[in-house]
Amino acid sequence: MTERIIGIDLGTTNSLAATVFDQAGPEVIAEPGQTPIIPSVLTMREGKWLVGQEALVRSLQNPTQTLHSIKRLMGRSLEEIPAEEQAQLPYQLRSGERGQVLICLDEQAFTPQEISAKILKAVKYRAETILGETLQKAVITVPAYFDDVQRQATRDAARLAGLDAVRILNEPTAAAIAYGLDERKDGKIAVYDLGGGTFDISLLQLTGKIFKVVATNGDTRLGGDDFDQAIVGELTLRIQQEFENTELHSPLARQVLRQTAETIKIGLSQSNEIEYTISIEDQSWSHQGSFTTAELQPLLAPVIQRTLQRCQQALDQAGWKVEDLDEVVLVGGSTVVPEVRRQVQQFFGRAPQVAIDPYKVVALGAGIQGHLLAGGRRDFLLLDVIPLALGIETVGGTFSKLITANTTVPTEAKDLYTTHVDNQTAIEINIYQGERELVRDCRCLGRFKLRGIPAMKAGLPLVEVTFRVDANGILSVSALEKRSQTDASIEVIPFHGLTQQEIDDLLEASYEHAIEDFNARQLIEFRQTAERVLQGIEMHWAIAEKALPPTDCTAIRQQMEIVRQRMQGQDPQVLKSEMDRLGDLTRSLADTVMGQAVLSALQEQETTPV
Amino acid sequence: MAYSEKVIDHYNEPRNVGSFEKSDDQVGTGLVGAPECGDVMKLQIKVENEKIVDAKFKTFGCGSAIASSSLATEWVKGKTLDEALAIQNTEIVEELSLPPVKIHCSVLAEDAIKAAIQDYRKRQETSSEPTASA
Amino acid sequence: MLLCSHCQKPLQSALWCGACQQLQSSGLQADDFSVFGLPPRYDVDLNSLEQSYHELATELHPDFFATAPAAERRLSEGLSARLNQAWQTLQDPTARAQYLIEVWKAKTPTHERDLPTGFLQEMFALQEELEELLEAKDQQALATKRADFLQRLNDLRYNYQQQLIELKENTPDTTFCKQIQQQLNAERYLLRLLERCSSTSSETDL
Repeated sequence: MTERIIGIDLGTTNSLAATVFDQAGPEVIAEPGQTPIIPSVLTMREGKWLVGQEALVRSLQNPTQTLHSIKRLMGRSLEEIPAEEQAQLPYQLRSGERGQVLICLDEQAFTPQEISAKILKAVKYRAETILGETLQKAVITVPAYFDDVQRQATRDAARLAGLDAVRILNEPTAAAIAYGLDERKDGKIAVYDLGGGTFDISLLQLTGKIFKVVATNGDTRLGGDDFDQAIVGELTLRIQQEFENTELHSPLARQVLRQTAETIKIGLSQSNEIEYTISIEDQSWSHQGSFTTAELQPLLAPVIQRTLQRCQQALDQAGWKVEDLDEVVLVGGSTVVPEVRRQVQQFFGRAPQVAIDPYKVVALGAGIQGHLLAGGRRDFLLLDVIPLALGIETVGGTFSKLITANTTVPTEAKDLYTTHVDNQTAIEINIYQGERELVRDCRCLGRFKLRGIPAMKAGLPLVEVTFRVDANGILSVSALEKRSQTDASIEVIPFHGLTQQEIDDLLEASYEHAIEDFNARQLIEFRQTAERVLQGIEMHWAIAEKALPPTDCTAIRQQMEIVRQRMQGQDPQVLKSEMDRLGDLTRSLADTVMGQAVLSALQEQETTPV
Repeated sequence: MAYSEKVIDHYNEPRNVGSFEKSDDQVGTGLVGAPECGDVMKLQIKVENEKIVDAKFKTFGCGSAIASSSLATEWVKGKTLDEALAIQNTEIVEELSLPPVKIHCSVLAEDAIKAAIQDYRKRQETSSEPTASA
Repeated sequence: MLLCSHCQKPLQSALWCGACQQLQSSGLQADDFSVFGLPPRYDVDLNSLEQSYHELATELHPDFFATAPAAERRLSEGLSARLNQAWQTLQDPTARAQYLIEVWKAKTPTHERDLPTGFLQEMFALQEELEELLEAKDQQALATKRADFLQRLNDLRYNYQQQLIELKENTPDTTFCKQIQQQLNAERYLLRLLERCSSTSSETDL
């Protein structure tokens, strides 16, 4: 196997990584006895970023400075985010130059890609520390229903985090890999994936080593967050009934309510009733109450109904009936909610499969796919589909589909274009993705300008444009003028994504933080070297005891202990200097060992010819 | 791609929708279809002294087909039969900036004009025959 | 017979050589049948077609070329796209018939817009009828119409599929191609009618 490729589940609420160790199954990457989960939450404190658990803990002290649910903003424009959803976020949003959404924090503005990059960096850094190796490549999972812009945004976030996203993998498909390889049974499976902010349903046909996605459907703005919001709504009503004119819209109040709602939701997954108390630091009242599963049920039902409608659509697209399915798999943190399980079971008419932890299954599948990409195995193949049709804008704002939804990728489509005016040398094409008839109801992926068309009479040039969708579901475009066989050049203007220039600028800016990264990298390297040196000394300790005076031996032992302690620390320079000292102390030992090695090598040479 | 006001107008308010009495000697009817998408288009002309005085259409199909036929009826009005025969689908494409995937809609409109004129001329021959023999 | 560009052995598929395991760059231009090493005939065993599809996918998919040089990786992507498209066409009975006609048309030109006599008049009349039913929202009458159209569609499909199967690997004459093309054209008008039956809204596609 070549370079390791880890799998990363970059979630709305939680993120984690997994990998395959040689000769073993996939495992999530965690410190022994600790959770593999890094909450997808960030905050800034004194100009420094805190990511994960640390940020989550501080979110109440620092509500307006706490960023969560960033995934919901990936690849979107500000106007696409409904006002009510914006109001639910404790942080402020504003619009960028091309309408892309920006997150305001400390009088600075960040793209969702930059924020996601920080989460990815945290995941990467921890994996590197635990694995003791530098990582450059990863499989990163996304909701199957993510469109091209959202996929590109995820890939750009990886680039900003110093990772090459060798594959953007669909979350339900990743889960299917983890399950399918576990069971190795042919048949039809449905993967119901309800995460914090997104919902996906994927239908797969397993035949031998082939995992073929037949249909996929979903909603990239539907998830456990909506459960929380429904509960927040109920709590708000209750509080305002008890204490009139209570102000519950401050960022702190919102954060408190959100966390209480989450606690209630989680609590009711284990028992039928839960008590709660709500008080907000700067307000005088305190509200106590209890929540039962019976009260929760009507709040969750509408959200769950929306997911089941999507399931029916997917079944229709595949031409399958519920009875055709051999298995229904539950994925995503929100599927631990008992009401979700009950309704899914009712819809599909069978008990869903939950053998693998729904929090971990996506990362595990991504880890397996990473292992396959790195050349570690060839015993399965994933054939995935494009979730939404791709096409161009035609007259009157009509969407003309070139590649239909649920087409197996990679795929390509060609279309011919011509000019309307004599000597016209450029053509503009607007590319959209979606399932509706009019482009205004679809996502605009960008504008493609074909340039360098040879000057000819109108209608004469035949520009053949090839739209390619790779295995990641990401589009690329090329063009050829057929009469002159010249390549027309293409300029891509992404609508809500980052331009190449912007990525370069951000990478440039991140060199400011490069010291931090450099330190991290060095630390890993030095730890590895230290480990090797310590092992080396242990191996030759018998020689040392014979060859060196006892005082030297004691000094070496003491210094080895210091190095061991420094290895646990975070400063590579300190570790380095202690290792240098150890190096000085053991120089004579090294000479002796070397001498012995040379001697024994010589002896071997002398004896071999005999 | 930008579209002229005129084009959008043709979608929202197609002109000359309806039909004439088919058996009227002054009327020529063209019925054509686009197998690419299953669209059907009926275009009728009313002729006086070799000049088209009125035109109507009815199209079951996509918006591009409707716009193409709407435009075609506007254009043929006031033209002589020979002038109308000279209308080419490329002119419709240009006027409506139809994309390649919808060019067949303009072909349909051109074919409909030709078919209507052909039908009218055939009728004139058959209806003038009895007079000639009488 | 196609030969491998590397080892010159006969190819089972235009995309990939089973003997020397090499990707065939000429496969990017291969026709749908030669992708699977099949003669251009209608009668296809769908089970063995699917099996070949899976076997070839396992050899060509870019996931197995993630660590290969960029040029090879791109080739595997292009060939996989070609494979997926060919499978998509050949596994579908109507798309396969249309594809065959396209192949033959290169040899024997036909009028691609032809329809059986009187068919268009009938379609126009049916569309008008349907429009009235849709406006009146007469669900029962619509359901009956829909069943009629469906029956007609099935009869039509059965008819041309039988004709194509009986042809075996013979190259057809112009009359035959014309007959099949007419029926394929008719099929699209029927599909359009069916589409309108099931669409409850009067929304039209521009």
